[in-house]
Amino acid sequence: MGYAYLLLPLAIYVLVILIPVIYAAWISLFDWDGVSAGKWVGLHNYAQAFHDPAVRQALIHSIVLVFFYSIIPVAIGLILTGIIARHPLRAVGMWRTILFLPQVLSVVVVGVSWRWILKQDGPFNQLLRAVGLGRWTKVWLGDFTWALPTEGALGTWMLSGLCMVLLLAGAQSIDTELYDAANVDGAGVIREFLTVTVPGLRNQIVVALVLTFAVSLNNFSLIWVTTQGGPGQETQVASTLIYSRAFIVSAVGDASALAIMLGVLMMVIAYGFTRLSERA
Amino acid sequence: MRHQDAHQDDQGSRTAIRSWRRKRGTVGVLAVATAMTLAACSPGSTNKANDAPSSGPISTGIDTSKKVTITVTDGWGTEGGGAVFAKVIKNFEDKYPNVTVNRETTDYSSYLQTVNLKLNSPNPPDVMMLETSGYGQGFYSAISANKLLPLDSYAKAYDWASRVGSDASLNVFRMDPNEHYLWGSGNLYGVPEQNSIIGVFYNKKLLKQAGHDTPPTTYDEFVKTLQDAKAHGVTPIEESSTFIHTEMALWDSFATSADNVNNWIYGASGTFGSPENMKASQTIQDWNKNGYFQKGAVGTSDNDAAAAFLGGKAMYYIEGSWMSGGVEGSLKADGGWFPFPSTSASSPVGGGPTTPLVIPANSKNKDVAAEFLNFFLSQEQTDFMFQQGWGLPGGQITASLATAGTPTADIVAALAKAEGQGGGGTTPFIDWANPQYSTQLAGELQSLAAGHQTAAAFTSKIQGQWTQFNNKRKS
Repeated sequence: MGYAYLLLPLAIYVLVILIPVIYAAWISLFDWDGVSAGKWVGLHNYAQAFHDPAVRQALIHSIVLVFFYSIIPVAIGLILTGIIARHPLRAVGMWRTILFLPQVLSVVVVGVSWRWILKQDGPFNQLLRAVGLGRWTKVWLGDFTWALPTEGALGTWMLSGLCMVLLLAGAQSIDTELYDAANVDGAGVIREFLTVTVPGLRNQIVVALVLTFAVSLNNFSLIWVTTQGGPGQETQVASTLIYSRAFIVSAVGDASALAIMLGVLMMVIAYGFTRLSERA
Repeated sequence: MRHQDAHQDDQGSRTAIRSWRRKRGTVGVLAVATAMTLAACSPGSTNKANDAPSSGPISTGIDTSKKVTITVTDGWGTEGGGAVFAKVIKNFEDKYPNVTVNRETTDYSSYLQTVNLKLNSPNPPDVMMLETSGYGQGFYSAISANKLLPLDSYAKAYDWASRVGSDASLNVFRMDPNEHYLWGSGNLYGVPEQNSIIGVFYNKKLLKQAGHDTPPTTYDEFVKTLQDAKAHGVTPIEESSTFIHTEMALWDSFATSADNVNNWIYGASGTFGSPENMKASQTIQDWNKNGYFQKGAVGTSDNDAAAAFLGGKAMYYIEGSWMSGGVEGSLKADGGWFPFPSTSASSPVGGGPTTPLVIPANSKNKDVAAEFLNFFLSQEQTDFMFQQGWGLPGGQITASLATAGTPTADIVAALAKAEGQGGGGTTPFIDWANPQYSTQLAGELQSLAAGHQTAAAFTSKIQGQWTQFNNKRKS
């Protein structure tokens, strides 16, 4: 009987998520430009994706971004949590707010601001010049070597606060007696961090990793606003590639196949992390 | 053929779903229902080849006895040009009180995302703006799917050729269904919203600082001004990271006839690796290496580059004529314009009629829509739009309207010369030559400028995409 209550949410879910996904999967089997009649090509779009150097390049970029969007923010979050949880700072609420702020701002605002900060005569290069590093100035988001790491750094800046807030919340539920016990056993700050704080945060770490992995593989807006995949194809990632193929090049079948593959990849990763946390 | 394939798939997916259903009961039923609905239709409705749209018997002028509503859609928004377009629509409604125009407008990039959906609708708008002509977004795919109405009968009845200068000026909106939709000849599918020419905006003060009182008239003089500017600490050219307009200006300057360039752009013959374009591509790389573009040009967005030039930070800006309003407004008397210097008298110039207005084949009010296009091109409205700040409208303006000595007046004169008798003609935007170029060309040009690939590698990559597309088009 109780299932009747689920009917409305289920209907909405089916209508706005399930049907579009199934339809995208269906379109992915066609060579379709979005206007004329689609031509049935079976799994050709998928087979082609495996041989497409542009797809491979985009995936490599996404993997680089995982490091910046996921690994570094979680590490930073952990360290900050380790410090704040044990040695309360003054005005901790203010610091938390400041670090979390990038999450609250619209990504478009963030992207436009950073593009301005990092342009040739922008504040960042002015700062470099002021401290005598003038020969290092460049358009950071437009440099073939530096554009991708710069995108990554923006991601680190955006996501570290989120990770910290997640982990800090988890740290509050760690039994303080465990710290006392560690102290009695002679554990120092680092030992205490590794044997009590990190294991106690295992579930929060998994949540943070799943969320940030999803952002790094799914990241569209920040890259689109700042570089649109350029210079050259240096910051092209899976989601920007899908967008340009679907809406600019009008290779809708091709783009759908890529989108489905990216979705499956993300589900596999999320599943892997969940298993990891369950085993704990 | 397609139906057979779809049927086979239907069988396959049903088998797969059946085994799945055993495990998942109700959800399975739902999925089967969805899959079956989907199987019934492959994406894209089909207007079959033998349903090629034709305008049939047409009538010009409007039956003023009947109330009628037409829908016009565009991506110009409600500010600037968008506001001017709204006034043109108002003028049209004033002239024909029985006609109501329902205008749907959004910002440009949102609009482009909806173009395919609108074209596929059983109730499409009556007049639509498309972003590009040729094989760029929308135009080719819509025509090859029989979604656009051929406008030849209207063009003849209303004599649109006389409004745009010559019949050849409309070639950029022609495609030939009998030649695998070869661009540049055949049926007419659109009329221009704007006329344009790629040239050089310059800052008179900075040119003087570089030691020149008058703008260069030959290519060698032009290069000399770049060298002198650099020697005097003036940024010679502010370049946006797309590089496309500079590449076009150079190719046209080195080419000795419009046909050499246009045959390639239209997809008929020729190669992107022609000696002229090889030289143009090499020049892009050399200029970047020599510091003729501002530092960091490869990563400077259109907006930032334009803002820097308008802010007086560079001597030249190579761009389409649509920037004249901005230059006159920001640089005032310091702003000037000259045509990009050609290397021969018969060299073409980049630009020409751009951004087509089209009538979808399924429009219910074709005659009224065509009357609207005619109104849009009329001398009266063209002059009105020009004075309201539209830029150069698709129809020709009364030449005396441009204030002498302004960039606009020089642009109008240069365009008239290029498009008139004995002129070199115009070549359309090179990124219209292939659906992929809108995303590929700028990236490859950036690699070229940054020295990450040679001119030979660049031209052969772009030529490879050209060949692939045109082979597919002909298959």
